Amino acid sequence: MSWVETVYNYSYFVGAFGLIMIGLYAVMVKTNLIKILIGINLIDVGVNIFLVSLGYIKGKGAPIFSNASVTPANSIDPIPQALVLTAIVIGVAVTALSLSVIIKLYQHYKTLDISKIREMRW
Amino acid sequence: MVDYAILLIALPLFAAFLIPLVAMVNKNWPKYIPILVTAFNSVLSINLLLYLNAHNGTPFIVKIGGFIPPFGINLFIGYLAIILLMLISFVGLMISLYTINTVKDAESRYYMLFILLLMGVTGLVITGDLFNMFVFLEITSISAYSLTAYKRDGLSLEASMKYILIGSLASVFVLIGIGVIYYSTHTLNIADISNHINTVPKYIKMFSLSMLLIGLAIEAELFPVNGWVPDVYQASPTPVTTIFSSIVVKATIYVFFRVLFTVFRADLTVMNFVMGLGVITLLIGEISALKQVNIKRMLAYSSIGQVGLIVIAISSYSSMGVAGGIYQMINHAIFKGILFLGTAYMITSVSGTGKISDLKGIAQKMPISSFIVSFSIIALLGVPPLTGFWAKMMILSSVMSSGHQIIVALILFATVVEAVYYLKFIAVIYDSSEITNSFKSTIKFNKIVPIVLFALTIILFSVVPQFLVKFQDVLLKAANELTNVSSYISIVLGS
Repeated sequence: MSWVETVYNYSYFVGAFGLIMIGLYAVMVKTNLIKILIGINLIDVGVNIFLVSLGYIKGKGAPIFSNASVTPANSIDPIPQALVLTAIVIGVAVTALSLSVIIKLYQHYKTLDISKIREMRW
Repeated sequence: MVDYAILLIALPLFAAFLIPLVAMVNKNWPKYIPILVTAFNSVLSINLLLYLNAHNGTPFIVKIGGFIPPFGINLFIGYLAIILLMLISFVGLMISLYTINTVKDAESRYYMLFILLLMGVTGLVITGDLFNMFVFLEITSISAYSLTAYKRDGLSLEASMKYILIGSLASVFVLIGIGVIYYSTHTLNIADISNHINTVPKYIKMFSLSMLLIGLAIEAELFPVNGWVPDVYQASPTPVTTIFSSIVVKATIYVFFRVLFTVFRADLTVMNFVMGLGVITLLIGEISALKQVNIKRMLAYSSIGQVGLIVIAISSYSSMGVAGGIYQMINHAIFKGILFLGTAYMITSVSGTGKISDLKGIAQKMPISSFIVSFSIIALLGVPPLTGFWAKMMILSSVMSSGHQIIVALILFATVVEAVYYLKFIAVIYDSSEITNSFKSTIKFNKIVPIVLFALTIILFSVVPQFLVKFQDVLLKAANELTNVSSYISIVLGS
């Protein structure tokens, strides 16, 4: 039973690691640019879940101090969540930029297959 | 106090987002804003240098928002930061002068991205907070991606896409590394992490070290992960390529070693590994440059080689070696500034696609630019008494005294390879046969002035010995700031 418990306790890490692996698979294997971009987004989400779960402590709540019952002893670490907010914003910017580059590439080459876009070596 | 040092970041950020408004008033004004911003930053960094000299050269910190470290973000400014800041603002000023009539149909967004890129790099070299460093790295990368795609032809879009893919992977690795460090030390302040790094279990330390090492090696153009460099350098507009080669790489190398030396207190095994990477980068870069026909691509491979040399020097960990590496950073920024801008100026005067053979015999028509380009090549190769010689001398003697004779031999071999393709290039531009290529004379002072000013700095660094003695002292202090962890911690956190 013990390994089930371990997996259960670390389920966020397992999930995050799984998402990162799926994303890496898409980036390495797929040749369609949109699919590669989705892979990168999956990796981003995996990393964000990983960071949030680093700060999570079981049975404790959000540190909102206007609520008098919340003390430092029963609240989670909020800094990773602040980091993740920043990381999400950066991820959105990169996704938007790469989508616009992909649109321009499609207009130029009439294909999304990176193995066919070959003016330079990939 | 020196709290105004924050203007180094705040003013460019303000100016960058002011540009669209200015463009609505008058379409011709945005192109002067980068000049104003970089000139302001140059003056400010000279001012900080004077402040530092007046205080015995002890580095100081700036507490943003008044939060005492390790709780808030702090800036760390010493001689090393100021050398890099002056480099950034000086090269930035030269390039914004050059850009005025260069980038075709330059719109306000070009200047906006340009200032944002410079701002990100400025933040990288002065911040004292690990996550803040990540944010500046991303600002730098995102503006770099979009500037690469600026021409919007097939080549540049493709290069930009490649850069985005590998850059996002780099940022993911860096973010995982930072997350793991935060989890095990519960702080993001670099000095505070360094204080606690020895209490971290060894395998966690190795994991986050390798994550950050991979992520930052991609940005710093080290060997196994620098495949994007030649394409990006070839495809982006020349002023942007110059910024990449002269400044962005230097700042990322600084970050790379700040993380290795200060955050992780890396031991000799890690440093030897990094030195090995540097050697391979140097050899691959120089040998690949040999067979290139496109000028920008050749210079890109040469840049990779120089990055390898700088990394070898700094990873030798001796004060002389690190000082030589910093010296070589300054030299390379100036040499590549001349080479990229000078050759681009020549290329715009002839028809062709930027091949080396297009410039056959160009020296008959453009004697000044050809002379300056050849002069900087000779300085780059390390002919005494020019400035490249002193830097290489420092690097070679420190590597020699650390007992890696084979690496000395390899550096000398790479220099010979470098000499072969650069001298071949000089032979092409000084070819005495009649010019077959069509030539249109376009003397533009805003293009010649930056190149001449760059050349004057080489002479200044080479022939004024009084200056050199003082300068070596500054270099050694800068090297000490990078390698001396305990003084870094006591300056940031107080003793």
